[in-house]
Amino acid sequence: MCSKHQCYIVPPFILEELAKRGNIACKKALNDTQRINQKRKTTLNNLLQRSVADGNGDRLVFDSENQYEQRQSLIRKEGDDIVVDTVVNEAYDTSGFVRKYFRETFGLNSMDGNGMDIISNVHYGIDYNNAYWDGDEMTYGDGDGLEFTNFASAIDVVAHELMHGVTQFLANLEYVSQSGALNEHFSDVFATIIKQKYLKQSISEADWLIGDTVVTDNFPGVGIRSMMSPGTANDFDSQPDHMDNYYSGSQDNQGVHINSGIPNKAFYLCCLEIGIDDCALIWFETLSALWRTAQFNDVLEIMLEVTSKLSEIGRVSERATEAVTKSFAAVGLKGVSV
Amino acid sequence: MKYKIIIEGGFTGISRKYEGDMTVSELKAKSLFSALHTDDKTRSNIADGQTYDISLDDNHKKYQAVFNEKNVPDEIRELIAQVKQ
Repeated sequence: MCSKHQCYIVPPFILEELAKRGNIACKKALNDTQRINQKRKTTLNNLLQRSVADGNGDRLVFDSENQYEQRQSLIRKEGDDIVVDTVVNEAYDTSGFVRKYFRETFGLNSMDGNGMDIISNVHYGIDYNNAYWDGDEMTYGDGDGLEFTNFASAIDVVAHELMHGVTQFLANLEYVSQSGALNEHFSDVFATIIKQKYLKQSISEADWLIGDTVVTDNFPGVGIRSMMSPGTANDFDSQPDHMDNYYSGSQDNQGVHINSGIPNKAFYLCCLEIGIDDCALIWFETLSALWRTAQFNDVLEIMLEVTSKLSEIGRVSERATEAVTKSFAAVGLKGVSV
Repeated sequence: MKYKIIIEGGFTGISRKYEGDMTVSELKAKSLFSALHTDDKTRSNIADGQTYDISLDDNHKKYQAVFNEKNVPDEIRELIAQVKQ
Protein backbone atom coordinates (compact mmCIF):
# COMPACT_ATOMS: atom_id res chain seq x y z
CA MET A 1 0.00 0.00 0.00
CA CYS A 2 1.43 3.37 -0.97
CA SER A 3 0.43 6.95 -0.37
CA LYS A 4 2.62 9.82 -1.51
CA HIS A 5 6.23 9.02 -0.52
CA GLN A 6 5.08 6.43 2.00
CA CYS A 7 4.74 2.69 1.54
CA TYR A 8 3.51 0.18 4.04
CA ILE A 9 3.44 -3.61 4.05
CA VAL A 10 0.72 -3.53 6.68
CA PRO A 11 -1.65 -0.56 6.24
CA PRO A 12 -1.67 1.86 9.21
CA PHE A 13 -5.36 1.32 9.96
CA ILE A 14 -4.70 -2.38 10.55
CA LEU A 15 -1.73 -1.58 12.77
CA GLU A 16 -3.92 0.86 14.71
CA GLU A 17 -6.66 -1.69 15.22
CA LEU A 18 -4.17 -4.31 16.39
CA ALA A 19 -2.50 -1.75 18.68
CA LYS A 20 -5.87 -1.00 20.22
CA ARG A 21 -6.24 -4.70 20.93
CA GLY A 22 -3.02 -4.66 22.90
CA ASN A 23 -0.45 -5.70 20.29
CA ILE A 24 2.68 -3.92 21.55
CA ALA A 25 4.71 -4.71 18.41
CA CYS A 26 2.06 -3.07 16.21
CA LYS A 27 1.92 -0.04 18.48
CA LYS A 28 5.69 0.29 18.25
CA ALA A 29 5.67 -0.13 14.48
CA LEU A 30 2.97 2.50 14.14
CA ASN A 31 4.73 4.99 16.38
CA ASP A 32 8.13 4.37 14.80
CA THR A 33 6.77 4.73 11.26
CA GLN A 34 5.10 8.02 12.06
CA ARG A 35 8.17 9.30 13.85
CA ILE A 36 10.40 8.37 10.94
CA ASN A 37 8.05 10.13 8.53
CA GLN A 38 8.14 13.25 10.66
CA LYS A 39 11.92 13.12 10.85
CA ARG A 40 12.20 12.88 7.10
CA LYS A 41 10.11 15.99 6.63
CA THR A 42 12.81 18.46 7.56
CA THR A 43 16.37 18.69 6.39
CA LEU A 44 17.35 19.98 9.79
CA ASN A 45 16.19 16.81 11.45
CA ASN A 46 18.17 14.76 8.98
CA LEU A 47 21.24 16.77 9.82
CA LEU A 48 20.66 16.23 13.48
CA GLN A 49 20.41 12.44 13.34
CA ARG A 50 21.96 11.21 16.51
CA SER A 51 24.17 8.21 16.90
CA VAL A 52 22.78 4.98 18.31
CA ALA A 53 24.84 5.27 21.49
CA ASP A 54 22.93 6.39 24.58
CA GLY A 55 23.55 9.86 25.90
CA ASN A 56 23.21 11.33 29.37
CA GLY A 57 20.40 13.80 28.76
CA ASP A 58 22.88 16.68 28.73
CA ARG A 59 21.41 20.15 28.93
CA LEU A 60 22.31 22.81 26.40
CA VAL A 61 20.87 26.30 26.66
CA PHE A 62 21.05 28.58 23.63
CA ASP A 63 20.29 32.30 23.44
CA SER A 64 18.15 33.22 20.41
CA GLU A 65 19.26 36.82 20.94
CA ASN A 66 15.70 38.05 20.31
CA GLN A 67 15.71 36.68 16.80
CA TYR A 68 13.28 34.07 15.48
CA GLU A 69 16.07 31.54 15.22
CA GLN A 70 17.08 28.55 17.30
CA ARG A 71 20.61 27.64 18.38
CA GLN A 72 22.03 31.09 17.87
CA SER A 73 24.57 31.12 20.70
CA LEU A 74 25.32 28.31 23.12
CA ILE A 75 25.48 29.98 26.52
CA ARG A 76 25.55 27.12 28.99
CA LYS A 77 26.02 23.37 28.59
CA GLU A 78 25.94 20.45 31.01
CA GLY A 79 28.38 20.94 33.86
CA ASP A 80 29.16 24.59 33.11
CA ASP A 81 29.16 27.13 35.93
CA ILE A 82 26.30 29.58 36.22
CA VAL A 83 26.35 32.44 33.75
CA VAL A 84 25.35 36.10 33.92
CA ASP A 85 22.00 35.59 32.19
CA THR A 86 19.53 34.46 34.88
CA VAL A 87 17.01 33.22 32.29
CA VAL A 88 19.64 30.85 30.92
CA ASN A 89 20.38 29.60 34.44
CA GLU A 90 16.70 29.13 35.22
CA ALA A 91 16.09 27.17 32.00
CA TYR A 92 19.12 25.04 32.87
CA ASP A 93 17.96 24.41 36.44
CA THR A 94 14.29 23.75 35.70
CA SER A 95 15.02 21.36 32.84
CA GLY A 96 17.45 19.59 35.19
CA PHE A 97 14.72 19.22 37.80
CA VAL A 98 12.35 17.73 35.23
CA ARG A 99 15.05 15.36 33.95
CA LYS A 100 15.75 14.23 37.53
CA TYR A 101 12.05 13.62 38.21
CA PHE A 102 11.63 11.31 35.23
CA ARG A 103 14.91 9.53 35.87
CA GLU A 104 14.28 8.90 39.58
CA THR A 105 10.55 8.21 39.33
CA PHE A 106 10.28 6.13 36.17
CA GLY A 107 13.90 5.31 35.31
CA LEU A 108 13.49 7.31 32.10
CA ASN A 109 16.81 8.54 30.71
CA SER A 110 15.86 11.92 29.21
CA MET A 111 12.84 12.28 26.95
CA ASP A 112 13.51 9.39 24.62
CA GLY A 113 14.80 6.95 27.23
CA ASN A 114 18.15 6.97 25.43
CA GLY A 115 19.57 10.11 26.99
CA MET A 116 18.95 12.54 24.18
CA ASP A 117 20.26 16.04 24.77
CA ILE A 118 17.84 18.46 26.39
CA ILE A 119 18.09 21.60 24.29
CA SER A 120 16.50 24.88 25.32
CA ASN A 121 16.38 28.13 23.37
CA VAL A 122 15.65 31.25 25.41
CA HIS A 123 15.02 34.91 24.45
CA TYR A 124 13.30 33.74 21.25
CA GLY A 125 11.91 36.55 19.10
CA ILE A 126 10.68 39.93 20.23
CA ASP A 127 7.98 40.11 22.91
CA TYR A 128 7.19 36.52 22.02
CA ASN A 129 4.32 35.19 24.17
CA ASN A 130 4.87 31.51 23.76
CA ALA A 131 6.89 28.36 24.41
CA TYR A 132 6.92 25.28 22.19
CA TRP A 133 8.40 21.85 21.53
CA ASP A 134 9.29 21.26 17.88
CA GLY A 135 10.14 17.58 17.96
CA ASP A 136 13.80 18.11 18.87
CA GLU A 137 14.08 20.98 21.30
CA MET A 138 12.30 23.58 23.41
CA THR A 139 11.94 27.25 22.62
CA TYR A 140 10.87 30.02 24.99
CA GLY A 141 9.91 33.64 24.52
CA ASP A 142 10.49 36.45 27.01
CA GLY A 143 6.84 37.53 26.92
CA ASP A 144 5.74 41.05 26.05
CA GLY A 145 6.09 42.31 29.62
CA LEU A 146 2.51 43.60 29.44
CA GLU A 147 0.49 40.44 29.94
CA PHE A 148 3.15 37.76 29.85
CA THR A 149 6.62 37.40 31.24
CA ASN A 150 9.53 35.04 30.66
CA PHE A 151 8.37 31.50 29.89
CA ALA A 152 11.70 29.71 30.43
CA SER A 153 11.80 30.31 34.17
CA ALA A 154 8.48 28.70 34.97
CA ILE A 155 8.87 25.11 36.18
CA ASP A 156 5.42 24.10 34.92
CA VAL A 157 6.02 25.57 31.45
CA VAL A 158 9.38 23.81 31.16
CA ALA A 159 7.90 20.52 32.42
CA HIS A 160 4.95 20.89 30.02
CA GLU A 161 7.21 21.38 27.01
CA LEU A 162 9.65 18.66 28.00
CA MET A 163 6.71 16.31 28.51
CA HIS A 164 5.73 16.85 24.88
CA GLY A 165 9.10 15.26 24.12
CA VAL A 166 8.37 12.31 26.41
CA THR A 167 4.94 11.85 24.81
CA GLN A 168 6.49 11.95 21.36
CA PHE A 169 8.69 8.99 22.19
CA LEU A 170 6.21 7.00 24.28
CA ALA A 171 2.98 7.29 22.28
CA ASN A 172 3.53 9.96 19.63
CA LEU A 173 -0.03 11.22 20.08
CA GLU A 174 -1.09 13.02 16.91
CA TYR A 175 -1.36 16.75 17.56
CA VAL A 176 -4.93 17.27 16.44
CA SER A 177 -8.43 16.79 17.85
CA GLN A 178 -8.81 14.26 20.72
CA SER A 179 -5.37 12.68 20.40
CA GLY A 180 -3.95 16.23 20.40
CA ALA A 181 -6.00 17.14 23.46
CA LEU A 182 -4.55 14.04 25.14
CA ASN A 183 -1.06 15.15 24.14
CA GLU A 184 -1.77 18.48 25.86
CA HIS A 185 -3.38 16.70 28.81
CA PHE A 186 -0.31 14.57 29.55
CA SER A 187 1.85 17.68 29.37
CA ASP A 188 -0.39 19.51 31.82
CA VAL A 189 -0.57 16.48 34.13
CA PHE A 190 3.20 16.16 34.48
CA ALA A 191 3.63 19.94 34.58
CA THR A 192 1.33 19.96 37.61
CA ILE A 193 2.98 16.99 39.28
CA ILE A 194 6.48 18.37 38.79
CA LYS A 195 5.46 21.86 39.88
CA GLN A 196 4.12 20.45 43.15
CA LYS A 197 7.33 18.46 43.69
CA TYR A 198 9.44 21.52 42.87
CA LEU A 199 7.50 23.69 45.30
CA LYS A 200 7.31 20.86 47.88
CA GLN A 201 3.54 21.25 48.06
CA SER A 202 0.87 18.78 49.05
CA ILE A 203 -2.19 18.46 46.83
CA SER A 204 -4.18 20.54 49.29
CA GLU A 205 -1.59 23.31 49.29
CA ALA A 206 -1.21 23.40 45.49
CA ASP A 207 -3.09 25.89 43.29
CA TRP A 208 -3.42 23.39 40.40
CA LEU A 209 -2.77 26.21 37.95
CA ILE A 210 -0.67 25.99 34.82
CA GLY A 211 1.28 29.08 33.84
CA ASP A 212 0.47 31.20 36.89
CA THR A 213 3.99 32.65 36.97
CA VAL A 214 4.11 33.65 33.29
CA VAL A 215 1.19 36.08 33.53
CA THR A 216 1.57 39.64 34.82
CA ASP A 217 -0.75 41.61 37.09
CA ASN A 218 -2.29 43.18 33.97
CA PHE A 219 -3.34 39.81 32.60
CA PRO A 220 -7.07 39.17 33.08
CA GLY A 221 -6.67 35.97 35.03
CA VAL A 222 -4.56 34.01 37.49
CA GLY A 223 -2.91 31.64 35.01
CA ILE A 224 -3.28 29.89 31.67
CA ARG A 225 -5.23 26.80 32.73
CA SER A 226 -6.69 25.31 35.89
CA MET A 227 -6.62 21.56 36.49
CA MET A 228 -9.01 21.96 39.41
CA SER A 229 -11.54 24.16 37.61
CA PRO A 230 -11.01 24.11 33.84
CA GLY A 231 -12.43 27.21 32.17
CA THR A 232 -11.80 29.55 35.10
CA ALA A 233 -8.10 30.47 34.86
CA ASN A 234 -8.64 33.65 32.84
CA ASP A 235 -11.18 35.62 30.81
CA PHE A 236 -10.24 33.71 27.63
CA ASP A 237 -10.26 30.26 29.20
CA SER A 238 -12.88 28.18 27.39
CA GLN A 239 -11.82 24.76 28.64
CA PRO A 240 -14.75 22.42 29.34
CA ASP A 241 -14.69 20.18 32.40
CA HIS A 242 -17.24 17.69 31.05
CA MET A 243 -17.94 15.88 27.78
CA ASP A 244 -21.29 17.68 27.61
CA ASN A 245 -19.37 20.84 26.71
CA TYR A 246 -16.87 19.22 24.34
CA TYR A 247 -15.52 21.70 21.75
CA SER A 248 -15.97 20.43 18.20
CA GLY A 249 -14.76 23.47 16.25
CA SER A 250 -11.66 23.82 14.11
CA GLN A 251 -9.69 26.35 16.14
CA ASP A 252 -6.51 25.38 17.95
CA ASN A 253 -5.92 22.20 15.92
CA GLN A 254 -9.49 21.20 16.74
CA GLY A 255 -9.29 22.20 20.35
CA VAL A 256 -6.10 20.60 21.63
CA HIS A 257 -5.71 23.20 24.40
CA ILE A 258 -9.47 23.36 24.94
CA ASN A 259 -10.71 19.80 25.33
CA SER A 260 -7.70 18.83 27.43
CA GLY A 261 -9.70 20.39 30.26
CA ILE A 262 -11.91 17.28 30.38
CA PRO A 263 -9.21 14.68 31.23
CA ASN A 264 -7.38 17.36 33.26
CA LYS A 265 -10.35 17.57 35.59
CA ALA A 266 -10.51 13.77 35.83
CA PHE A 267 -6.84 13.72 36.83
CA TYR A 268 -7.42 16.30 39.55
CA LEU A 269 -10.38 14.33 40.95
CA CYS A 270 -8.38 11.11 40.89
CA CYS A 271 -5.51 12.76 42.81
CA LEU A 272 -7.97 13.70 45.54
CA GLU A 273 -8.96 10.05 45.82
CA ILE A 274 -5.62 8.21 45.77
CA GLY A 275 -2.89 10.87 45.85
CA ILE A 276 -0.68 12.38 43.20
CA ASP A 277 2.12 9.75 43.23
CA ASP A 278 -0.21 6.84 42.47
CA CYS A 279 -1.80 8.95 39.74
CA ALA A 280 1.61 9.83 38.30
CA LEU A 281 2.47 6.14 37.92
CA ILE A 282 -0.93 5.26 36.47
CA TRP A 283 -0.82 8.11 33.96
CA PHE A 284 2.78 7.39 32.94
CA GLU A 285 2.12 3.67 32.41
CA THR A 286 -1.06 4.49 30.51
CA LEU A 287 0.79 6.85 28.20
CA SER A 288 3.38 4.14 27.56
CA ALA A 289 0.60 1.85 26.32
CA LEU A 290 -1.13 4.38 24.06
CA TRP A 291 -0.82 4.87 20.30
CA ARG A 292 -0.80 7.80 17.89
CA THR A 293 -4.53 8.17 17.29
CA ALA A 294 -5.82 7.26 20.76
CA GLN A 295 -9.08 8.92 21.82
CA PHE A 296 -10.50 9.78 25.26
CA ASN A 297 -12.36 6.46 25.54
CA ASP A 298 -9.20 4.55 24.58
CA VAL A 299 -7.30 6.26 27.38
CA LEU A 300 -9.90 5.29 29.93
CA GLU A 301 -9.95 1.69 28.69
CA ILE A 302 -6.15 1.38 28.81
CA MET A 303 -5.96 3.23 32.12
CA LEU A 304 -8.37 0.80 33.76
CA GLU A 305 -6.30 -2.13 32.51
CA VAL A 306 -3.05 -0.52 33.68
CA THR A 307 -4.51 0.45 37.05
CA SER A 308 -5.87 -3.02 37.67
CA LYS A 309 -2.45 -4.56 37.02
CA LEU A 310 -0.61 -1.99 39.16
CA SER A 311 -3.11 -2.47 41.94
CA GLU A 312 -2.76 -6.25 41.85
CA ILE A 313 0.99 -6.04 42.40
CA GLY A 314 0.62 -3.40 45.09
CA ARG A 315 2.22 -0.53 43.20
CA VAL A 316 -0.86 1.68 43.65
CA SER A 317 -3.77 1.82 46.05
CA GLU A 318 -6.28 -1.02 45.94
CA ARG A 319 -8.91 1.69 45.54
CA ALA A 320 -7.24 3.00 42.38
CA THR A 321 -9.48 1.30 39.80
CA GLU A 322 -12.57 2.61 41.52
CA ALA A 323 -11.01 6.08 41.78
CA VAL A 324 -10.15 6.19 38.06
CA THR A 325 -13.63 4.99 37.11
CA LYS A 326 -15.29 7.54 39.38
CA SER A 327 -13.09 10.45 38.26
CA PHE A 328 -13.67 9.86 34.57
CA ALA A 329 -17.39 9.27 35.09
CA ALA A 330 -17.54 12.70 36.73
CA VAL A 331 -16.41 14.29 33.46
CA GLY A 332 -18.75 12.21 31.32
CA LEU A 333 -16.45 9.36 30.33
CA LYS A 334 -17.56 5.89 31.30
CA GLY A 335 -15.46 2.78 30.88
CA VAL A 336 -16.02 -0.87 31.55
CA SER A 337 -14.12 -1.96 34.65
CA VAL A 338 -11.75 -4.87 34.15
CA MET B 1 -3.77 48.41 2.99
CA LYS B 2 -6.27 46.42 5.04
CA TYR B 3 -4.93 43.63 7.18
CA LYS B 4 -6.37 40.84 9.29
CA ILE B 5 -4.06 38.72 11.39
CA ILE B 6 -5.27 35.82 13.51
CA ILE B 7 -2.76 34.12 15.80
CA GLU B 8 -4.02 30.85 17.26
CA GLY B 9 -2.77 28.05 19.45
CA GLY B 10 0.47 28.19 21.37
CA PHE B 11 1.09 27.22 24.97
CA THR B 12 -1.45 29.78 26.16
CA GLY B 13 -4.11 28.64 23.69
CA ILE B 14 -5.33 32.25 23.57
CA SER B 15 -6.31 33.50 20.10
CA ARG B 16 -5.39 37.03 19.07
CA LYS B 17 -6.96 38.94 16.21
CA TYR B 18 -5.57 42.17 14.76
CA GLU B 19 -7.59 43.93 12.09
CA GLY B 20 -7.26 47.38 10.56
CA ASP B 21 -5.89 49.68 7.90
CA MET B 22 -2.31 50.83 7.49
CA THR B 23 -0.43 53.01 5.05
CA VAL B 24 2.46 51.27 3.36
CA SER B 25 4.68 52.18 0.43
CA GLU B 26 4.24 50.41 -2.88
CA LEU B 27 7.57 48.70 -2.35
CA LYS B 28 6.58 47.50 1.12
CA ALA B 29 3.22 46.20 -0.14
CA LYS B 30 4.99 44.30 -2.89
CA SER B 31 7.35 42.76 -0.38
CA LEU B 32 4.46 41.69 1.89
CA PHE B 33 2.45 40.17 -0.94
CA SER B 34 5.53 38.37 -2.10
CA ALA B 35 6.05 36.99 1.41
CA LEU B 36 2.51 35.60 1.42
CA HIS B 37 3.34 33.61 -1.68
CA THR B 38 5.69 31.50 0.42
CA ASP B 39 2.69 29.95 2.19
CA ASP B 40 3.57 26.42 3.21
CA LYS B 41 0.48 24.24 3.40
CA THR B 42 2.11 21.40 5.33
CA ARG B 43 0.49 21.00 8.71
CA SER B 44 2.83 21.58 11.56
CA ASN B 45 3.26 18.97 14.28
CA ILE B 46 4.93 21.46 16.57
CA ALA B 47 3.48 21.05 20.05
CA ASP B 48 2.33 24.44 21.33
CA GLY B 49 3.31 26.11 18.08
CA GLN B 50 1.17 29.05 17.00
CA THR B 51 -0.49 29.38 13.60
CA TYR B 52 -0.53 32.72 11.81
CA ASP B 53 -3.45 33.40 9.48
CA ILE B 54 -2.64 36.53 7.45
CA SER B 55 -4.98 38.39 5.08
CA LEU B 56 -3.91 41.52 3.18
CA ASP B 57 -6.01 43.66 0.84
CA ASP B 58 -4.79 46.81 -0.92
CA ASN B 59 -7.91 47.23 -3.08
CA HIS B 60 -6.11 45.76 -6.09
CA LYS B 61 -4.91 42.51 -4.63
CA LYS B 62 -6.19 40.22 -1.91
CA TYR B 63 -3.94 37.58 -0.44
CA GLN B 64 -4.31 35.16 2.42
CA ALA B 65 -1.84 32.66 3.82
CA VAL B 66 -1.38 30.53 6.91
CA PHE B 67 2.01 29.97 8.50
CA ASN B 68 3.35 27.98 11.42
CA GLU B 69 6.19 28.77 13.83
CA LYS B 70 8.81 27.43 11.47
CA ASN B 71 7.88 29.17 8.25
CA VAL B 72 6.74 32.70 9.09
CA PRO B 73 8.63 35.04 6.72
CA ASP B 74 10.59 37.91 8.30
CA GLU B 75 8.36 40.46 6.55
CA ILE B 76 5.30 38.96 8.24
CA ARG B 77 7.04 38.87 11.64
CA GLU B 78 7.75 42.58 11.20
CA LEU B 79 4.16 43.27 10.19
CA ILE B 80 2.86 41.45 13.26
CA ALA B 81 5.21 43.41 15.52
CA GLN B 82 4.03 46.65 13.90
CA VAL B 83 0.30 46.02 14.28
CA LYS B 84 0.70 44.80 17.86
CA GLN B 85 2.12 48.19 18.92
